[in-house]
Amino acid sequence: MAIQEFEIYISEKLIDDYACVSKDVNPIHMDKISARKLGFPNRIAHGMIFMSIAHKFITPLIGKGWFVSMQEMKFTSPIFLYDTVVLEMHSVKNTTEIQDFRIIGCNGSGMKVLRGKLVLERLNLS
Amino acid sequence: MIDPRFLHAKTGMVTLRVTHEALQKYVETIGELNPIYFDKNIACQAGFEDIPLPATYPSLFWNAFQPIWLKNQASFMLSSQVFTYIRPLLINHDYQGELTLTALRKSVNKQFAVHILRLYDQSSLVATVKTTIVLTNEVT
Repeated sequence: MAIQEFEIYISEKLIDDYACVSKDVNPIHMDKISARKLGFPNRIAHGMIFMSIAHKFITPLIGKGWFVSMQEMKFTSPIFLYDTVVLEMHSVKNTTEIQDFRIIGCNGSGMKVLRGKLVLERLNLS
Repeated sequence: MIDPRFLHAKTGMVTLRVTHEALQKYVETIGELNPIYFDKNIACQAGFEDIPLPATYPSLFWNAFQPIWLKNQASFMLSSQVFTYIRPLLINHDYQGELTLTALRKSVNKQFAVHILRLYDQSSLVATVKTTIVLTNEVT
């Protein structure tokens, strides 16, 4: 069951703001000409943008005594400026001790561009 | 491309500390508005000793390192990332971190470089970040 979806539009502002906060100003993210020299049609969005936004899926649980014990993401295709990516998260395990989710992301053409996992465990309050 | 002679090279240990202001800038950029990242009282009510860092925050710790093997590597991008936590990280707390180049793999005109960032709290391992980047040659 898909419990949540996020649609992310890759604007110049999003890439520029993330570059500013992360200080990752690699030309492949910042400059179309540099990206083209490497065979890409446009600037490539930072992969961590999607991982950071995917984390928002589970933030409400962080406020209820859970913490992320593992978060993983693999990028299967570059995501470019002006793409739209839909992130979808599914629960695969939900117990009192552990919550386990899977994430997939598809671009506007329906191509899967990323997949990930998120595992949460209960905080030890003792 | 990274010279294979750098395989298993380490950056050396660096002290890492995240301020409340730095965290605010990050969460606002990604549109994370949950009060647990803004209000210590709410974080404490949820069982944390202070405001926790989002699990993805340590990707920014790379700025504290200047890996010699990435010097002059202008173009690379993220292939995969895995954050593993023994316990959550908090703001206003000193952690020690070291980045290691653990594997190199070549594929046609690309090179995959695997890095492990280990984060310690007073010599106890608290988190590990495995980052695989891909370096690409210019198209001629």
